[in-house]
Amino acid sequence: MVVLTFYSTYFALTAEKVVRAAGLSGKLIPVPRQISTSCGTALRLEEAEVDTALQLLHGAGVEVSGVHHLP
Amino acid sequence: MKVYLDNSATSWPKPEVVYQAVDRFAREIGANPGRSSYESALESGRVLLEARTLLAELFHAPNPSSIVLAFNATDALNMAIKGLLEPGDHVVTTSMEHNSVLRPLTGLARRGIIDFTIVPADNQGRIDPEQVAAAIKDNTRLIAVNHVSNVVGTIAPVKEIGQIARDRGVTFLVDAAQSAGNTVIDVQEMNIDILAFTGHKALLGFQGTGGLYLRPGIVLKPWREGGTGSLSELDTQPEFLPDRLEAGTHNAHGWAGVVAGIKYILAIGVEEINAQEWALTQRLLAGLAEIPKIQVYGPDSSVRRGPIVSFNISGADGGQVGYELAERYGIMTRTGLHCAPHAHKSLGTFPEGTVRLSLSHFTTEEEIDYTLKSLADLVSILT
Repeated sequence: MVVLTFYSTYFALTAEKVVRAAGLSGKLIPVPRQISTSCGTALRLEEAEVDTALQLLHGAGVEVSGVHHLP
Repeated sequence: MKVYLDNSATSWPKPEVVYQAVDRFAREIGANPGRSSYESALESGRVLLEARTLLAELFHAPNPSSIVLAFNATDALNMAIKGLLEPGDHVVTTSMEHNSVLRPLTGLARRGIIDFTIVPADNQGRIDPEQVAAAIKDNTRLIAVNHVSNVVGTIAPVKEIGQIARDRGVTFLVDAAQSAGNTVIDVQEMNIDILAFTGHKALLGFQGTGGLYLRPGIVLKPWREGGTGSLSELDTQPEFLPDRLEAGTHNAHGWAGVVAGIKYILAIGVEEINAQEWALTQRLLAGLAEIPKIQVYGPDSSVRRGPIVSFNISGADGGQVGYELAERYGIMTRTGLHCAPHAHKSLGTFPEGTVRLSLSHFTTEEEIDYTLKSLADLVSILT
């Protein structure tokens, strides 16, 4: 599982919209405790989707504050 | 018969879908946006995202992150004016401004922080862009212009002034309180750097909603600071938008209504709404011209204006006219100075003011005709 974190909820919600529109699995979740971050909402993705998702988010102007690979 | 002609104060009624959206939000969602990750909190956040997305589409803004949500146009204008200006700055504004621009500027000037020049309109409320250009000084940081007059509906030459601002390197702020939703606004084509709007007038939502479009690159100091749900470990306001400017709980159910209002507007088309309102305004102007002793202010009746008409009955007090219209005929208007004293000075109606009739998308020909008949009757009674 991969978790993307964001500076603001605005970016988290936009990220969900962008990846879902592309048919990816993105789901918004509370930021896992082991990740120290700024905004309380993170986007959970499958490992295989991460590269595509990051490209899409970059194209949409969404700033990602962290990419966390979790067991 | 009840006729509501005070839509410039706040529009009423709202589209049925707006009532439904607010009711649904209140009953089924309710949660605070941007603070938690359970589904209804996310759904609440999605309402705000949809509001930003639709507002960006409506104003032809480059992306939803250029939209900042506030509580009304006054809140948004204070955010822009107090967030942008620095000590020693000069501002060019016009006599057609609402007190929501004039009072923040006057307050800053009285405290010795800025100074400003008021470009006078003519007696039809028209601003000459050349006079705006001539008022720019070396230290002019901002030009602030009301798009559509809340007193007489006169439309300011926003695109021309925007070009002047761009050429001279001055930030251009447009107050779209009366125009957002019923008049085509393209912030890029009009060279608008900051647009202030309200949700409860022509956007057909409820009170407690407003905001700014900020051209990417425009940096405002936060005017309101506090909780954002982000960077909560820090004692200082986050630097990034929209959190930088959006401290405190949003009016989420209000935005649910504005979302429904903008969808309703976009389905019909802003140009179509504008054409309908202009046709009704022309019907009203033509009828008023037929009634003796009524003087109408503002642009010539052939010149397109916002759906706002101000008049007086010679020999009668405006406040009494408004009272009699409500009491005898059920017609709701606004009398006096409309929070725009300098506009009335330009029009020659200060300090007594005018009686204002302001229309909306829901005003009907029948209501206009009833109002005209009632006014003819009232003139014969009062004079």
